Amino acid sequence: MKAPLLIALFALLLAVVPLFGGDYVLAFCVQLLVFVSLAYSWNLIGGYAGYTHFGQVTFFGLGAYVGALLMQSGVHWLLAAAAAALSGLLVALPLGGVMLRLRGPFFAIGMYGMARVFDSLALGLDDITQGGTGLYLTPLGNLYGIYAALAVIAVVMLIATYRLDNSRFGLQLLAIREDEQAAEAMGIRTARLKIAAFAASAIAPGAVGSLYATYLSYIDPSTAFGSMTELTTIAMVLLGGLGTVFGPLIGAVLMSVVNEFLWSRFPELYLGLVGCIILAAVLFMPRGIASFVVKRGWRGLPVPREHLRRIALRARGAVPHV
Amino acid sequence: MFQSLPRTLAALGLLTAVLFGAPTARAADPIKIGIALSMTGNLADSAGHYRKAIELWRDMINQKGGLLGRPVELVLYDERSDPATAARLYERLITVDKVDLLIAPWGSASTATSSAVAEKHKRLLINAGGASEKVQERGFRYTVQTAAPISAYVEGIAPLMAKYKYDSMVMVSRDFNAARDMSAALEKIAKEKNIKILNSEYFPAGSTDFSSNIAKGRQLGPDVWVSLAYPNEAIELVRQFRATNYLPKVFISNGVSQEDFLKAAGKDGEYAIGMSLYEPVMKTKGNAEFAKAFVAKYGYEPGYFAGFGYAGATVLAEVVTKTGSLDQDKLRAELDTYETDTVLGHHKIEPKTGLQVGVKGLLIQVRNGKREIIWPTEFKTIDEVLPLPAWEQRS
Repeated sequence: MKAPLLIALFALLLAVVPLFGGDYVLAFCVQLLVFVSLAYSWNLIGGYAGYTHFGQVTFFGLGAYVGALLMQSGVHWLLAAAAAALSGLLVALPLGGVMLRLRGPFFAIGMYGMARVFDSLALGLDDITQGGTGLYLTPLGNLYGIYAALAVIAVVMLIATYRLDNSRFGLQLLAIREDEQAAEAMGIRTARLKIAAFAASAIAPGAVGSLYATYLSYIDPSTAFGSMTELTTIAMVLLGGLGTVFGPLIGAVLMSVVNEFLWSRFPELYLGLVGCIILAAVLFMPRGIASFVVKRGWRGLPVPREHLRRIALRARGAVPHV
Repeated sequence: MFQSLPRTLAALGLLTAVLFGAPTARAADPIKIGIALSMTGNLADSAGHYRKAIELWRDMINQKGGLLGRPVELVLYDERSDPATAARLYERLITVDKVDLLIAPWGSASTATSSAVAEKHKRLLINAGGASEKVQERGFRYTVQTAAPISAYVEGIAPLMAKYKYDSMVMVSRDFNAARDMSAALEKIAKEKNIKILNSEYFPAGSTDFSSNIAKGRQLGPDVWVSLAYPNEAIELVRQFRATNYLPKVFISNGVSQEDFLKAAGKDGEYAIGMSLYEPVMKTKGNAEFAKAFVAKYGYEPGYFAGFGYAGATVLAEVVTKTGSLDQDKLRAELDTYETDTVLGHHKIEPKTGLQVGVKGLLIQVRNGKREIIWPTEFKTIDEVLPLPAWEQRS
């Protein structure tokens, strides 16, 4: 029962941060939580279903604009975030139906193109979005509300990933990742499941995008659809462990910390160092930190599909010792 | 070498203690001024000039004995041309580094997010690098603009066009907030002066191919081509004008008014007209001293990006000296009516919004690889050559 314990610990940690941290710590955590949610969302489709892509920022940016426009017309920021989450889902469903016909690098690049299309729309539809000027919002008095909302989303994403990891749906996605044709031959409805995973991976980015706009009280196309946001998210998942429960969290925390303390002071050094970290990760831990730790048998992290393994062991008559 | 590792470590520890732990004398406590600006990302080049001017200002004021008798120290961070990072770093400057004073980042987008943070903490933010009027129009009490407002950039265009009886223009601009505000200001002027705007379009930041804009320009045949852009885009534009053998009667861009343009565009940049807000030859207060020190330190002449940084720091230092205090509310109250002269010209704000209303615009023309002022007449250093000489007539 280690995983639920770790999740509870994470939630507890998030609950006490505002009590002890100042405004800057809170601002740092807001940024961190944005990336945790993005990383977990990307992990659903990129890690579990094996459909890695460069276009998640589409939903993040869409959410940011939907949320910002609603807030400008007087909607409460929490409601705006909920609407933005819905917009992510509604756009992802048809988009997934079209884009998921592509596979491998074609899907990855196609989604990158999709993000650029939305970016251009935000610039081009300037009657609605104000183009490059960006949308100005009234700032909230403090960060606590946004922090709490983001913390809830991050914990929900973590729990959802843990449940997925131990579910039939998770196994089906893994089967698609390993061999889509074989999975289909075994009776897995691949098209439907892929679209479901893709749509699910667009909900949190939509909400988080809207909260991000609230936090900044400003949004412009380059912030909403930033390639840096996309690449950082992917690097976090790869570093932490693709298709694992705790990998995205580990990757997001590690990269955010390195990012914050080196980049602001030593920009040149930072870029070099991040390059080295990613290189080292690829060379020595190609499956990410989480998989590396589990493989070494270190006791920090639970094994993947913990619950399913226990059921399998029990079926064989052995007594589990977890 | 490795046998002495413990000793090396001990020495290092001692060094660290000396560097960071030693208590400093109270009287020499520096006044810390916090700024986060782009050192990497797409605004890094322009922000570099702004930063250099502020660093030069620090050296100059420290040579004269500092501010309120205390030395001035800058706390600088890189905001990666990212408005979100800028907001977080201002949060850090205010709550962790506990800086005494704040100067805004370079560019209107980052100024938009960081001014919200400053407002939340009731901290004065000198908006020295964000021209967009939208930033000031949000009604933030603590953000005060020393940078030239948008209207100043474009005010020379109509008089110049009237002089030569030019009556049509196209606008091809980089899509960023300041450019949109400038277009709006220009459209208003055009309406009043009966100037026809044949086309107004935007290209995204980072564009390098302007062939379609040029093709359209060729078809419409405007008298004046205005581009609100950064130097790298202005450079590409004149290069592609030449490569496609196209030339409007007048080419005006604010990107022309920087050293980068003169260097990179070379001969293709000759006769281009720049909107500017500051030139090193201007006889404004303290300018001779600033321009000379800038050339001595960095080896090139300052443009208006640098002028903005220096002027912002100057105004800040003057109100601090006048009130003899670092109290944010006192400083802000003083700024309501404070008027002075800086390297940019006159400084005056609208008390309610903090919008700059004193600084006026200039027009320059590139002649023999140098910027010469052609408007307004009181600053004029050369007579303009218009329309632009055709490419084949140039040596």
